[in-house]
Amino acid sequence: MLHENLRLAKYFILAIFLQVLVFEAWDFLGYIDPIFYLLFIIIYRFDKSQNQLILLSFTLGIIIDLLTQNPGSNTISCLIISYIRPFLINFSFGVNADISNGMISGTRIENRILFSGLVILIHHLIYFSISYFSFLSYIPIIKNTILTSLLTSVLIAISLGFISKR
Amino acid sequence: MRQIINAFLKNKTFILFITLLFLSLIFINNRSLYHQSKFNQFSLGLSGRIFNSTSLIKEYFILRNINNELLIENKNLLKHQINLDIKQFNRTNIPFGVFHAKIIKNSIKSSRNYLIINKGRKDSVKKEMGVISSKGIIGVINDVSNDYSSVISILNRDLIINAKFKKNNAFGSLNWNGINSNEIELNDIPIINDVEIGDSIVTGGMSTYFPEGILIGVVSEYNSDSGNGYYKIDVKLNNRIGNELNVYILNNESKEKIKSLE
Repeated sequence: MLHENLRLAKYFILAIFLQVLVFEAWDFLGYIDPIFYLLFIIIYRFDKSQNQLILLSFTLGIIIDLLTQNPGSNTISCLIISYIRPFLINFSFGVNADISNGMISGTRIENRILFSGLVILIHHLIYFSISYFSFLSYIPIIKNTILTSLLTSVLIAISLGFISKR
Repeated sequence: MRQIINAFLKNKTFILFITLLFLSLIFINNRSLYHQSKFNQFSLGLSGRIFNSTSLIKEYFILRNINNELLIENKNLLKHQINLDIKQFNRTNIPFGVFHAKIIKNSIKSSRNYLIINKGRKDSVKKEMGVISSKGIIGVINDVSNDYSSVISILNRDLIINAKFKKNNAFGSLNWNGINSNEIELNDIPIINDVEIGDSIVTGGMSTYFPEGILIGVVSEYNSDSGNGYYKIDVKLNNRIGNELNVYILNNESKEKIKSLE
């Protein structure tokens, strides 16, 4: 249990540091910054308390918003994605939704890709919708959502592969 | 209480989510002027709709007061208009006061109709004051009690009112024949005058009841074949006596002086 909590704390801090120090200043193609901290929400164990995840996601979002001078898009998008996460797990994994560490092992790769893809896409859509906060800006919202989701997905896939191997 | 606690525990995730979402919105509102202005626009639109609805409901309950205020305003405007007309045409120099009242009993079925209004002696109403509505004349005060007054309706065969053509000032007398509640007869107009259907008939100003120039109705039919040298003219009333509710009582402030001269 303690080991599990330490592992959680390690990913939490690592997600913040990497996001703020590395990925926030990346500016791929001039304007795309991947949202790497989503890895924390994706690999959070399926059997652990959802309330704890909601609180942790809120804290994660607010810290990143404060450190990156963002008005609050990370906080709201993290909060919403952590709230709808159980529905996404059930949708993506079906009968295997009760495998506690399903994102690391014991489940099929297609389910994992579907789950992480949905989390990334929905999170990014919320994130950019809140950032632009205007119906008239639907074109940049969709464009940024797709491009950033692709980049985030690549990074998270690499990280997941690395974590699984360990 | 137990049920409330159970419901709270059952939905604790949702409550936590909503609470944190609310905090996030406060956070974003405080940090971004753009979001703040968007939230303000949204809340302004929402509060505008809410206040509009509540004000509509509130207005409904104070309609009586609004109505009374409008009546007072109309009364003042009417008084102003009547006295302004008198000054403008310089025909007479008779000032008129105006009170407003409500018809509490109305009748158009008899050949001698009377109305009762809710103003009486204590409201300074006296006999022989003219009564008009916003659309035309109603009648003349016949009797007064402390709180109420009886009005001889224009639809009463005994009432004769001085009237004239607006276009050429040809004078005659109006009297109801007791048949149609929308029509009244205008007599004593000599056939040398030109009469056409649609001509406006207004009060003549020769009586102390009404000032000159208040619209009564329009000519709907006329006949010059009676052989006595006068037209028999039917005038379609501008107002419908049976539908009137609010009326104005005209007080000829020089009536006593005129009576004493008569």
